[in-house]
Amino acid sequence: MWQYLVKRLLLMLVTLFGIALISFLVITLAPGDPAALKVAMSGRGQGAISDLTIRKNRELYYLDRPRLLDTSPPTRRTSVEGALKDLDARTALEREDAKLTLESAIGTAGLDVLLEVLPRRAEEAAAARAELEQRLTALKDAGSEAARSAALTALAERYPPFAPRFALDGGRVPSAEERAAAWLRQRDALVTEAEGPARRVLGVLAAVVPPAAGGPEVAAGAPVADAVTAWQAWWAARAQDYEPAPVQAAVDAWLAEGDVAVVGSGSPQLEALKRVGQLAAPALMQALEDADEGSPAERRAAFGLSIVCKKPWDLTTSPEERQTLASRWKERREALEGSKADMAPSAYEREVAALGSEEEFLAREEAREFDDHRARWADWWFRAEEYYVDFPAHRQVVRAFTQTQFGRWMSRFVRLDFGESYDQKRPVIDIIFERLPKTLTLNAISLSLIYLVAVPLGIFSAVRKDTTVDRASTLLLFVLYSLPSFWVGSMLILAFTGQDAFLWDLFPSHHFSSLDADKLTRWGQVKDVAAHIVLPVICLTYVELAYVSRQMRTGLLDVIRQDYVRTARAKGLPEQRVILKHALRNGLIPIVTLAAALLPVMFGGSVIIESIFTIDGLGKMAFDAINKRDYPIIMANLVIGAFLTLLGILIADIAYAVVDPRIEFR
Amino acid sequence: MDPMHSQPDITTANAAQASADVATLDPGQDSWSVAWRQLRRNRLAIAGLVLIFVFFGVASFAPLLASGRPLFLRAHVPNIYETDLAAFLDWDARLRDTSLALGTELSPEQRERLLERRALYVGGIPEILDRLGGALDATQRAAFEPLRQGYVERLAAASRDPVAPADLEALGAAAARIDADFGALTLGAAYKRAGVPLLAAWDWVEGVADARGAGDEGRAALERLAVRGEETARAVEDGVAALLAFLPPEGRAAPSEAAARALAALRTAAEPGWEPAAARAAIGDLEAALDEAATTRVPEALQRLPQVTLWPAFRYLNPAEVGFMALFVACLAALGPLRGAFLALSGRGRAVALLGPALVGALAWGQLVPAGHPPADALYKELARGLAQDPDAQGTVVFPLVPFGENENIYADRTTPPALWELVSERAGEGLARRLREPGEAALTVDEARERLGRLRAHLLGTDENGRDVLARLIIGARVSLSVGFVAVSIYLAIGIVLGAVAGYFGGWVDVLLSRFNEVVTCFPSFFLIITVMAILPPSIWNVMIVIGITRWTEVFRLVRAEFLRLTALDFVTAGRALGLSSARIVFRHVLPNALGPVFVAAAFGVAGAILIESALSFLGFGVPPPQASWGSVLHDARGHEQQMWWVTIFPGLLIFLTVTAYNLVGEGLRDALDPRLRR
Repeated sequence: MWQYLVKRLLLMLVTLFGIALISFLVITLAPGDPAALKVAMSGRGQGAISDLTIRKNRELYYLDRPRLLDTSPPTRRTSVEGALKDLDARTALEREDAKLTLESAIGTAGLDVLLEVLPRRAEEAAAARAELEQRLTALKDAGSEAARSAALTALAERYPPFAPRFALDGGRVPSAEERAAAWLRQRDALVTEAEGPARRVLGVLAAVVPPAAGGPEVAAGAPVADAVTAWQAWWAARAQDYEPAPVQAAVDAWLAEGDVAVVGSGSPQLEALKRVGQLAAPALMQALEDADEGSPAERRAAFGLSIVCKKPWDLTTSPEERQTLASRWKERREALEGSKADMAPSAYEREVAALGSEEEFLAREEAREFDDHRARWADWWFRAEEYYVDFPAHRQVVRAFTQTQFGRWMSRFVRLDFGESYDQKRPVIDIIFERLPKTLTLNAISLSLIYLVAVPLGIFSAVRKDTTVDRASTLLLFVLYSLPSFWVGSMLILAFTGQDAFLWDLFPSHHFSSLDADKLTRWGQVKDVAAHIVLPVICLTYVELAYVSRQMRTGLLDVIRQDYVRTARAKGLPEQRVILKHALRNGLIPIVTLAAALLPVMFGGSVIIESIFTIDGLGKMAFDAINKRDYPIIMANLVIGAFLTLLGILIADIAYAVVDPRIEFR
Repeated sequence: MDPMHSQPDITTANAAQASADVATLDPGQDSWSVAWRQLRRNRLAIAGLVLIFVFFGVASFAPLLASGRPLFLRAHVPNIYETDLAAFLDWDARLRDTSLALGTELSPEQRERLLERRALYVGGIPEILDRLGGALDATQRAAFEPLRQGYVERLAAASRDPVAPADLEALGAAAARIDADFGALTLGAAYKRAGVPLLAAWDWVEGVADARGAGDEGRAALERLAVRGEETARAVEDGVAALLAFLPPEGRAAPSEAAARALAALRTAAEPGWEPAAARAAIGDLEAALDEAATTRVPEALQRLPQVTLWPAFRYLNPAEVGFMALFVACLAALGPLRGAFLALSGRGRAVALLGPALVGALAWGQLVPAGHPPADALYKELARGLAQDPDAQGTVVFPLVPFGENENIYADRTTPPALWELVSERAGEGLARRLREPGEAALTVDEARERLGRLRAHLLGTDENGRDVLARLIIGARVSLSVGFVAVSIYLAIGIVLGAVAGYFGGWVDVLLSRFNEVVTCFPSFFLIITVMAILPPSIWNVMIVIGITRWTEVFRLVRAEFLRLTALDFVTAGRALGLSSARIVFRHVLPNALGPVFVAAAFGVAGAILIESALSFLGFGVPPPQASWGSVLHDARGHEQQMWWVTIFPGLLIFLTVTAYNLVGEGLRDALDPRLRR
């Protein structure tokens, strides 16, 4: 028996992995981009969705990563190179984004790569500029119509965003002269564009190491070649400042300083840390992981991270920032008071009153915010590590599996972390627990009703086999079994609800309880809920009732034919005793185990029934989520449904093994 | 809604008979014919089969049973002609604009979009021209044909890249020729042709009057206007001539005199004695004369356009629809008159006899009848109504049994109760009176309205919120609802049988692997899985079928696997192996036919389940995409106003229920017939 159970549980693990895989495939193999939809949902009424926002969301949800296996997971070098490529992207938004990545996220960690590509880019810029000058001259001096149009085409192909737009008024095509003039007018912009790749890298360098932080002084309009020389000279002199040893020293010095409150004061340690910049991130992260929970060292490390990486959120550090926080609270309170002058004191005021002073309230809020920072930083580091660390080979092998969509899905699947609802911006798991009671109530009532009615009906029918009563009940159950429940739901609403009810206005047609239910007495509330759920419970019940009752009948008939029942009759036991005592015990076995299989089916049915009767349970939640394409909720539903079924199967198997001693243990 | 379960069973009285049959089994008979004989004795199952067959018949012939397009039409079709002509001129103008735009520098996406649009116009215009030509008589067509050809030839030149301006101009000229010669064949078009230039003439007269008053500055304006004066006059002349052609000779005198005066006033504007007031009066007179001419009845009005004979409901069938009709007719023949001949055929012969006509019919139709875009359904209705109102008009329009299309929105008829209800119930009768009142007419009494309710306005099962006929949608929706069951189950039978056979026959780790996979899929509550996948996939009926197919094969897999495990242990398989037969041959020729019994039973119940799932999906709005009809989607349209539109709730549900019951009865019967031991 125990062996059987252990085996069963082990097999369940395999199945769980299969469920994770399939649910992952469901969401990824299907066409359509969840990230795009997410933006579409949260950005309602905010204009068109830009490609960039979609891309950012893809990154957020790991959709830019390969699905199952990343043969070459990104490293520090490839991240910088990727961002450099985007720096020359077509749209200004993408360029701006790549610039932000290079300046704020990667920062000093990318200096070596940037300076490596700089000379090559400078050469290219010179060549591109020469070519542009030559083309523009050709356009200006074009002798023939053909030469001019060839020059126009060449320019339009090389610099597509600069192709002049003409309104086609009156069906007139602008002449070649007009178009050439439009190109020549844009000369300055074209030159900037030709030198762009090099100039943009220079811009990034200037932002990462401004003169104040020890960078070279380069005038903004200086020729590209001069600027490049200046930067190369600077790197030759200062490269050793960015070696691991000085970086580690700066971090150690920062961590050694005890008090957190001096952060804003511009201490030398802070300046040193700022100068080292993002390169300090790995050491700080290490320090954060090593520090004890709640220790000053932990706070030091976290503040250090937020200073060098500016990501993913800043921690309140200085008195000035506290002041800002306080004024934000005040504004909110005033806004609240302005709109609802006669309302009870706001939550804020109540809390401040309870704590004694505003200072203490702020300190508590800050502490709360700080509480989960360790997990947040870890989450951020999972993805951002690749900006700062050169991975050894064995880590790259592991990352090939973990830095994929499936790796991330699996890690969240194991923790049952379904993320945040796109629509409600709350953790999915909270929403589920909030909705669960209503669905459970409905299903529990239905399930008990099913068994309370179906079992006696089945017994009755089996005992009176082939009588008119049996035939009638069989036919009735057959009809019930074929009735679509969503239609029955609509028909019940049609017949029994509202002023226009076809038969009687007996029940409310929607919701789980009346809106003013909390004003009723306890008993009144019970009656109110009962009136609301009569119709949904009928819809949820009748199909399964028909099914279970059929099973009961056939199961019992099977048993009644057995020899031992005949023996019981032969020895003169009263019929009632034969059926209820001898036959029923064995006849019930398949019915009991059936309950586990019914549960998931009923959860599926609640999607329909709850949406017909507008009951805010899990089923309605699934329905709404699908309508809004709220993927986290949809996926949570699917996974939970699968868990439930698996659990049901497991319980059924175990129950079978427990109640039926004849079962063989494999 | 219960797709998870297998089957309930219904008791039939002839259990004893069944075991007797098995006992006296004739050794020469295969088990299938025994089963068939058994099934025939089950009256309920036969009733189910008949019902399914009838539904399939209705579904195959749906395009001829319910359609907004007439089966047959012989009439003058001015409104369709005018619409086509307007469409032609519009597309021609757009085509030329697009070609012009393509001649400039464009981003690749813009270029692609424009090219796509141009391809649409270039493909669509010849079709419209063909339809225009089809509405003409022989002599008119003789004149039309060269113009049409001229246009179509230039179309090729004008859609080359890069386009030469001269080609475009030639194309425009060709379109103008068609418009000039054939643009005023109907009274409506001619009236418009005369009216629009008159408006321009008003403007022009005001312009000249202003310019004359403005002294020196006005002189330059006057010169510019003088050029347009002649243009305007010519347009007015054209229009008046087009309209006059419709008038009987005796009615032409007054308008042509008024026209002569107005033209003279327009053309003499440069002369010193020109009076704006007189010109205004002349144009006003002409307008009044034309109005009068066009509103008094014009006997020749329709006759410049010949009567045409059309078969619109047939003309726009697609090959698949023809194929299904042929299939159904073949089935009907095989069951009825040609039964003997059909039964004499071998298995393969029977398949050819049933599917052959369908394939041939579909292919032939595809080859012979070019696909086309039908004119809007409302145009045919308008035509029929015109014929009914005009006692002199000659013509016949024969509409199908249900004269409404799947998506024919009749705004005036929205939320109409069933016709019978309208005739009986007082409250519905008032609605009827409102609905049938013609514009400008005094209120109807209920009785008058009841008398007036004709076939084209009577909705047997009412309409939905959008004014779409429920019966028509149910008939056409039957195609989706019935085929979903069939296709989805075929898909999952194929998957289940192949995987189950492989697992059961080979056993070992293959079996372990496939069984694990099966358990994983079983773990997903299928309805949840399906709605999840439907949330991700674009809504389409094919996706519904495929998703049901790939999520619900687990039961078939279990059945087939179990049968294979049982059968492969038997001697005949060992004998087959000893003979050196290949695995594939043993599996497919010897084991599989013996394992199929339970599968067929599961399939019959599966079809019922799939129909339920599809209608539930469509009911929730996740099934077929909105304008398309299926039984579930019709029900969906009634959601939230069940009481106001009870007819939209009741009828589709009833159909779903009947179909599901029929399939369940057949499944019951099949099970009893295939395995009498299961009978209880």
